[in-house]
Amino acid sequence: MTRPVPDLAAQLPVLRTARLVLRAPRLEDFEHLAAFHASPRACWEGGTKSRKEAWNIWAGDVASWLLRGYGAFSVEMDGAFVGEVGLYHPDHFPGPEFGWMVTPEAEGRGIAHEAAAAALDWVRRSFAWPYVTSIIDPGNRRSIALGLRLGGTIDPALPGIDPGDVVIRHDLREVRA
Amino acid sequence: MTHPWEAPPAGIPAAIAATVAGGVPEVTTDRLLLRAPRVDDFGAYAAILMSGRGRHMGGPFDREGAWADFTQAVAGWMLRGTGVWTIARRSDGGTVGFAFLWQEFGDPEPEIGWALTEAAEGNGYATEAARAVLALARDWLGPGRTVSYIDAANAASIRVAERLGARRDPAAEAALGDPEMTVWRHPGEVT
Repeated sequence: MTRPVPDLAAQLPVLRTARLVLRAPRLEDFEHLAAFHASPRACWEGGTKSRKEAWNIWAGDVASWLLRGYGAFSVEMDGAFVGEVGLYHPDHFPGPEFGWMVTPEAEGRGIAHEAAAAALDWVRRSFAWPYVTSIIDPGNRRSIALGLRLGGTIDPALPGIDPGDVVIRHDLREVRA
Repeated sequence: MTHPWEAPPAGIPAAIAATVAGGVPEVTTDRLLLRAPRVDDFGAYAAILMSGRGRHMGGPFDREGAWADFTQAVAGWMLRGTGVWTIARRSDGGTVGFAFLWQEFGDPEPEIGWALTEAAEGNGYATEAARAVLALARDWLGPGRTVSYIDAANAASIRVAERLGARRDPAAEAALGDPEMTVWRHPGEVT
């Protein structure tokens, strides 16, 4: 007889929207992240990565929940993984970054916007921060457009990571209707 | 050098981190407390992995590599319900090392592991901590379901495995195919 292992994911919030569930990451989600990092779509995230490199990146993001008290949610639609959204704090970042990714199947359906809006609302409600930034490769027009559609503004005064990064500032002080 | 991303959280995030970490069971032994890892434990973790002993743990590691190893061990708690504990000495609260029940990337089976700071070695702490982890591993994963992967040159860790009652597993070693790595299977009963 065995008894269940601890369930730390139960400590994390679950966010629900009209079509989506934002929940704690699970081991099986990694296949989607590994596929993302192996694909040309990773060109906006520092280039394609091996499975091992993708694991290190993702494990760091997952560990953030326990080590820093924030992290990224996996996004589910009809029980299927369609992306990730939330707060990222990888090596070489001075603080948390608000980011998102969706699977190729989920693109063009408003899923990234729906997930990001819910997650940004969670950030606004949960942390007493004046603002949070999204740091985006200047070639990633789709993500820049989404950052602006979420109500963010491009702020050239805020630091990015790589030269030329577009930094979008999401004001968290004002609760929008 | 300490990097900015190693800074511990403060305020609301610190409280949330403590809540999430509260899901990690604490284990008390005669002399030791195994507790959830925190960001500020990383200094001790990095010191171990960046030292000569890191060679026995898949290293040598630079500080970024040690961070990746640490976060992988911590992420296990979220993803598998097993991971890494910081080992504190009960008498003074000092960090003496780390105990693991984890499955590293590429490892075929869950592993019981241990790593002590240089100053803490030679006191039987690794055996004491690993014995407590072995009892939990048996409860959670079932008897005989954990191994320790130990560098064949790491005599100190091999002695710990022997004290725990583990036996070399030739089939698992053959499957692993790494002549420098020994695989020790832990017994079903904790002694």
